[in-house]
Amino acid sequence: MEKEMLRLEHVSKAFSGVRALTDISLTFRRGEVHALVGENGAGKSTMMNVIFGNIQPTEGKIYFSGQETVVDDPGKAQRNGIFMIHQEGSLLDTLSVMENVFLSSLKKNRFGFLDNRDMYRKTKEILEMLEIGHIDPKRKVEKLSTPERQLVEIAKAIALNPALVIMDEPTASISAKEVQILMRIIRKLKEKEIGVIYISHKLEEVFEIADVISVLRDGSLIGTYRKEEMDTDRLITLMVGRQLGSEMEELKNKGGKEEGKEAVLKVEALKIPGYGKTVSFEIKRGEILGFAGLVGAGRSELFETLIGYRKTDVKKITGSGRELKVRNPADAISAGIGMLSEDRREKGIFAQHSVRDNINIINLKNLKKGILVSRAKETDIAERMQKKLNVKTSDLKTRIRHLSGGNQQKVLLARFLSMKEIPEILILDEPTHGIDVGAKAEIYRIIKNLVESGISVVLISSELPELMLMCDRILVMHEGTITGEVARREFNQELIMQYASNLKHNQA
Amino acid sequence: MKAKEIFNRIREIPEAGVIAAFVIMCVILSFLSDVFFTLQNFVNILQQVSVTAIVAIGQALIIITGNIDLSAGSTMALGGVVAAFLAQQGWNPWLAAFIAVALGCAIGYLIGFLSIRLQIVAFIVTLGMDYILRGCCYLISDGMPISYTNSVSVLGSGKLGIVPVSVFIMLFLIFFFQIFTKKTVTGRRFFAVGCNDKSARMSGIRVERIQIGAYIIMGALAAFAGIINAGNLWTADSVSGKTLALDTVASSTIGGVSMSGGSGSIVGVLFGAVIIGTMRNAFVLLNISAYWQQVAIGVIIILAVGIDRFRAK
Repeated sequence: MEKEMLRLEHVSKAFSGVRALTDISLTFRRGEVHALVGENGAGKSTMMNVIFGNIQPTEGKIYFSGQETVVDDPGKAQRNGIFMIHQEGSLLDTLSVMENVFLSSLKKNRFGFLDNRDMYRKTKEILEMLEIGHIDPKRKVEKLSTPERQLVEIAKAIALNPALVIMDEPTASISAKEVQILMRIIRKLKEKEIGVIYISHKLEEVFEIADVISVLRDGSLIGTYRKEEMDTDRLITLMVGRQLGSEMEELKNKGGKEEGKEAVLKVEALKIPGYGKTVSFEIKRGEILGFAGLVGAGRSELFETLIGYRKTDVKKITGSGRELKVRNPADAISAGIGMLSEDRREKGIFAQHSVRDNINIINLKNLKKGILVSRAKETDIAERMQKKLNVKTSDLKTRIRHLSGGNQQKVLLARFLSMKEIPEILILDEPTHGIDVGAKAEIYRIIKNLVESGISVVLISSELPELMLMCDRILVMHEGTITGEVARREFNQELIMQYASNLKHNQA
Repeated sequence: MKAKEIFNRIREIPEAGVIAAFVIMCVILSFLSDVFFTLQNFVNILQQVSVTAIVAIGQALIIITGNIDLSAGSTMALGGVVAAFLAQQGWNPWLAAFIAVALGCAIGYLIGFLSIRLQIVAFIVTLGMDYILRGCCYLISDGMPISYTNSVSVLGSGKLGIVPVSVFIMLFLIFFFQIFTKKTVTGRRFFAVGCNDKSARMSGIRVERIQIGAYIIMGALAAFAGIINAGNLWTADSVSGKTLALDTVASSTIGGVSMSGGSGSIVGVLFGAVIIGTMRNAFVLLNISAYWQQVAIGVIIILAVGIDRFRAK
C-alpha cells in the first residue's frame, strides 16, 4: 500500500504572471485511490495537465518511481504508464469500440494487416471485466449512449496496462447504476496495484471510494487527509474556505408544503418517442417537483417531448383548464413553459456569442425601441441579471464559452428570469451537473427564490441528495414510465432507488 | 493610455480587419498608379462589384445560418433570362421583373425545403440546383442571349450624376440588411441559429423557418441581381454568373463571415466584395496578366480566413 509511484515536489505553475499552482508537494502511491477535490478554478486541471505532460511546471520537480522525470508530452506520460480518462470524452465517433480501445496500439497480424480477431477478443475480455459485456466491440462509438461511452473510455485506459489512471469527473454523465459499476472497477484496479487519481465534485463518491483526499483551493494544496479523519461538512469548508453548512441547513428546512396547491399543468397523456407506455402527472403551483431515475429512464426525453423539442403522436396537456397546443419550444415558451437542457454545451449556450447575447436571446422582442432592438436596453438587462445572479465575468462582451460551468448555468437561467413574464413553469435538467459546490448553493438559492414567487420548478437530477434537499415531491421514472411518487416526508434513498429500478411501484 | 483605448475600441468593431486591409491596399495602389485614387475609378470598382455584392448579402445570410448556396450564379442568370424573355414576349417589363424575383423566392424556398425540411445536405442540393437552373436558362433562351432594352434596364445601366443606379441599389441593400441583421429580432436569430441550432430551438426559435428564410432572401436577391446584370449589359445571357456562387462565398469569407456559421456582418461582406473588385481593377491598371488575378484572389481568401483564425484566439 505504501509504494510511492508519483511524487510532485514544490511544483508551481504561472500563466503570464498569474499563479495557477503554488508550491504543491504531493505523493501518489500504488494501489491507492487518491481523490482530488476543490472548486472550479482551484487548480485541479492544471495539476493534472502538469502530471500528464500537457504543460510544464514553472518550478518544482516530478519524480516517477523515485526517479526525477521531465514529462514534456502526453506520450511520455503514457510510456510511464499514466493514463487519463477525460471528462469530455476522447473517443472517435466513426470508429468501432475495439478500434477506439486499441487506437494507440492497433494490433497487426503477421501479414501486417490489423488483427481484428485478436482485438475483438481482448476488447471483449476488458468489456466483460467492466461489466459492460453487452456492448459489441464492433459497434460504432456513435451508436453508444453517454454512460456507455464513459465506460468505454475506461476500457481504453485499462487496455494499455496503466500504472496510474487519472479520472476527471468520470461520473458526470452516468447514473447511479453505472456509478456502482465504476466503483467496483476502481476497486479491481486497486487490487491490481494500480493507482487512481479521482477528481470529482460529488463528495459522496469521494467518501465511498477514496483512501486519501487532497484539497486544493486557489492553486494551493490545503492539505492531504486520510478518509477516516474527514467528514463532508469539514471537507466543504476546506474547499470553499467559508461555512456553507448553514446555507444548506436553511434550504433543508424550507419546502415540503405541497398539500392544497392547485395544478398549473396537467400532462394527461404523453408518449415519449421510443418508449411503449404513456405518462401522466401534474405540476402544482409553486412547487419543486423532482424527477429521479437511472440514465435511460427517459426523464430528459419526457420533458423534451413535453416542450415540443421532440415529436410524438400522443400528447395531451392542459393548463388552467384549457388544452395547450405545444408543437415546438417556441409554443412552450409562449405557454409559459421554459426548459434548460442537461447538455449545456449542445443544447444550451451559444458558445461563440457574448454573455450579453446569450442572456437576451429569448427576450429580444421586449428590448425594442420602435422596431429596432436597443443596445442600451440589452446591456441594461444583462447588467442587472449579472448582478442579480452573481455571474462572474470580467465583461458582458466575453464569449460565454470562457465562463465556468456554474456561471454558464446562471447565464442560461438569466435567459428566462430576464423575461417580461417569467415562465410559470421552469424545467431544469441537471442544473448543477459539473458545477462546483459554491455555485451549486447559489443555484439552489435562485431556485428557492423562484418558487417563493409562485413559479413551479421541475428538477431533473441524478443526484438523490440534491433532489431530497430541494424538492417538495419526487416522481421516479423507469424505462419511459413513472413508477413511483414520493412525498417529502417519505423521502428515502432506498425507496427511490427501488422505484427507479422498478423493483417496486405505486403508480399504474 | 488614450491611444490604447481608441485602439481597443477599433478592435471591437467586427469589420475593422477587412476595412484596414482595404485601406492598406488603397494606399499601396495609389503609389503604384496615378489613376487608382480617383473618384471615377472608385465608382467603377463599386459598379463592377455591385452584382456580386448584392448576391453576397444572400450568401452571407445563408452562411451565417450554417448553410451554403452553390446555385447562386444560376439563379442570377435565370432571373435575368426570365425577365428578358417575358419582356420580349410583350409583357410589361416591370411585371416581368417582378415575376423573375418571385421565381427567385420560389427557388430559394425549394432549396430550403429540400435541404432543411428533408435534410438533404445543402451542399449537394444547391450543387444539383445549379445544374438544373443553368439548364432551365438554356431551355428558355435556347442558348441565345436575349436583348434587354426596356424601362427596367435603367436599374443596371442608368446613372445619377456619375454614380450608377446599381451602386445606389447595392448600398441601400447593404445598409438595409446590416440593420436587419444587427438590430431586428428576426435578424439576430440568424446568428443564434448558425451558432448552435439545437440551443436556438430550445430557446424558442423556429430554426427551420430562419434557415429557409435565408434561402428565400438569397433567391430574391440573386434574381434581382440578374435583372441588374442584364440591364447593365443590355442582354440577358444564359452563361452569366458562372463563378458567382464562389465569388460570393469568397466575399463573405474575406468580409469576416465565419464558415461555421453564427458570426459575420453585411458591411464586412461589402468590403469583402470590394477588395476582390479592387484587386481586379488594380491588375488592369497595372497591366499585369489577368491570370495572376486568380492566383492573388485565392491567396487573399486563405489569408483572410487565416488571420481571422488567429484573431479568434
